Amino acid sequence: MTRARKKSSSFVDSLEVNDGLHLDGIFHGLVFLPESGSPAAEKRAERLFRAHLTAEQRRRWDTTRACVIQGKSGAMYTLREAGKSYNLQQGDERWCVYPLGSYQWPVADVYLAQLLALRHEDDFVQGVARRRHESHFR
Amino acid sequence: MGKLVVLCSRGDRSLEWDPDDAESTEVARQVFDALKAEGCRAYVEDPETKEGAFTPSFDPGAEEIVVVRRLVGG
Repeated sequence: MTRARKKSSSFVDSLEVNDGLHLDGIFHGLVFLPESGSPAAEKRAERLFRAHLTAEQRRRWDTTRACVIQGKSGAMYTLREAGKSYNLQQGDERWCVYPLGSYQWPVADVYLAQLLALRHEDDFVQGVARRRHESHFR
Repeated sequence: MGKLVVLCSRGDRSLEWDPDDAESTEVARQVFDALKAEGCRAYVEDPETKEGAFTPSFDPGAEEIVVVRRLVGG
């Protein structure tokens, strides 16, 4: 077995797929960082999310805590800082879609996942999102 | 250097590889493949323009690959 295979196997063995991805274990090169929920993890997630926003999206996020995302299909979506579910809007519908097991994630990591998925494969997101009419939330 | 950023329950984790170093590149490729086999989605973006794509396979020339657990509807 090559060294690369041992290292990647060690990583794979450490996965706990029933409760999010726990990347524990000895794994050369993997940077271990603070637990989610900690101020450091939340701050790091916010920084990473902001780095993936365009300048205009960042400006809107800073002023309104929302941003507009153009999907690959051309459709426009609004992502809002409003928890982890039903925080996306398309037309008069609110969408609920999030990474499996992400209830423990820093919220900005969930927003980053939603941002990337909508930006680069909104047709895929359309297929998995649960939707409710805007009037449901009034 | 390339960077694999994995979003997970303890916040994001990163794994770097050097495209000129066969071993680190192979480790990153194997990790990428293992995560993909778990149903994860991966995206590559230009840091400046934000243009990019869903990527079905490991790109050793990528600057950053963000890996996200499988998306589900609530």
